[in-house]
Amino acid sequence: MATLMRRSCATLLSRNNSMAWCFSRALVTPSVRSFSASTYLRTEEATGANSNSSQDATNQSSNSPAVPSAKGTPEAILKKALTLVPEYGWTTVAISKAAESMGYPAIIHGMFPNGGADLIDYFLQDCLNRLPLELEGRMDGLKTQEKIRLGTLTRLGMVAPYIDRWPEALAIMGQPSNVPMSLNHLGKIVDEIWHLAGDTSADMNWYTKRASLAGIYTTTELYMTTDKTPNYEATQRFLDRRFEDAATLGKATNEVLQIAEFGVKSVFGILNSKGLRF
Amino acid sequence: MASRTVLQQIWAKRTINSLSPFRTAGFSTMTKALHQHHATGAASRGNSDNYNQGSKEPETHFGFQNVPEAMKETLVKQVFANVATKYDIMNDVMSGGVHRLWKDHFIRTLAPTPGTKLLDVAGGTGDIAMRFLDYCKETHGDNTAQVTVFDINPNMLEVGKERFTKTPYHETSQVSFMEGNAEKLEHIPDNSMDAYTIAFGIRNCTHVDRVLKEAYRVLKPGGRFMCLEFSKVENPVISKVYDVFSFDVIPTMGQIVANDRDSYQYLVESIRKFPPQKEFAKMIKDAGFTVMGQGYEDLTFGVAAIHSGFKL
Repeated sequence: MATLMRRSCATLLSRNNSMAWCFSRALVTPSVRSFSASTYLRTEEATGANSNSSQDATNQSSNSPAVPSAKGTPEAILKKALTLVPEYGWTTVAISKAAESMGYPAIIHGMFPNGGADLIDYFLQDCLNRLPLELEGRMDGLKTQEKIRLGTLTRLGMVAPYIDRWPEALAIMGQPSNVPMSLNHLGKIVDEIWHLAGDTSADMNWYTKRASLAGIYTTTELYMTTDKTPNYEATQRFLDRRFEDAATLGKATNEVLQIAEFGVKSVFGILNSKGLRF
Repeated sequence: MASRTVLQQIWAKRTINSLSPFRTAGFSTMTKALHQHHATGAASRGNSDNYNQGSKEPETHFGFQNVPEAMKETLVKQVFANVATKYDIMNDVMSGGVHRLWKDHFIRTLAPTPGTKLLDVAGGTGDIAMRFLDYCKETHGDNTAQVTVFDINPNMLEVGKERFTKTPYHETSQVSFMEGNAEKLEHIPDNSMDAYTIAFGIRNCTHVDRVLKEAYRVLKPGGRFMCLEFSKVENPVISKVYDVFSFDVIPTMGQIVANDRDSYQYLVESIRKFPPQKEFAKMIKDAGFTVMGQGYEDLTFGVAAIHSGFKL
């Protein structure tokens, strides 16, 4: 089925490509085109960036300066629980064990009635708070598409310390009752990345940019959970391919729209020439 | 004696009830206890007219009536002495078994961990205690969890003890019984309990704020206070049905099943006098507890509610 779809897509694309020249060569929006231009050039630099960011994430999970939390607050318990996630997973047990290690009775886990989902919620919020701090000063002088790539890789790097437990988290996030929470966070992630990259669009573009990045981010994160290569090199290549896809897809969509518009206008033109007025 | 007149005023409504052929033995014991108690109280104050003269003694509600604070405890004690033996069957009859679901949900919400030390206040018949120990056994295979069943009423405690003799928990360190007042947990040291539960009990206490203070005192830092109590139904349609049910059906059923109308009349009235969800959540906060979110969960449209707070 998938093969069939891919084939028909390819046919569609090739046909579009052959026809596209006669209408316009300037259909592709600049942001989409520059995406694809940057993909191969950036690989090396980004490798460095990713290894840094995953190191940062490891350091920060033990003493994050971004989330203000004093001992005795619910956040402090969740923060401690995050350090136990590799051992106990995204579970109420991790929260209970964390509370016990802080001298509280385990029963305090009732503060977080959704258990693992609350822990994930806290983690995602924590990542969101840390992202601008980690990227501070590192985006200067980069092009928009490079900034997006750096932002995405930095954010993916934050998951790295928990990667063995991340499929479990994805499963919890996919449960119907947690879906609103998950989507909300996904929205925040892509919005934050675009925002940090200096995006100020206020039109339909705002939505398409975020939607396409959301798709890319989700699939890459899923890919990352199975990636065993050092520094997640395979994940980076995967991400680059997704950016390429997005560029191609954006181009194709634009061309299809243009063709449709041309077709409609032609029909009206012909009808006009036959004496019909609209 | 003036105090007697006062009492007759207080109980005027009930005296009319008592003219009915259904007049119960329980009720007359209750009135007798009242008379005795108030007579002593009045004598010790040395001025039996106090109560009539705009009363220096603070009053509190007992059902829909106002009684001197010092008296409520005795009155409540009497009510529960009357209902003790039929308490569990009456709960089933009146709630159609739903109280079992509420209590199950209550314990699932508490989700005790192995080794939890629970103080179950107003837990006389052991309903909560039994569920607590069962949960620990079934979920964690744990037999180190401990519960202290605490109640002001020896009759209710007797029912609970009797019930536990038929279980494997009998004569183990897992369950113990203690008689006392929730407003003053004398024999329970500070910071000694992991969890404190009170199910359908707190509305019968004279000073709810003192009960909460004591709960705060005996809990360990990080311990959880949980209260299951009747609450306010906000939905106007359901609230109408609920009113008819509680004021007409329940007392009548009390009369038929337990042969005691007045005790059940008190029970439904006391439900209406208890503060609604938000107000009670605020009282819990005021006692020093940390409350997550709105601090309560409605059960069955708010007929009952679970309130929860943490000592941090």
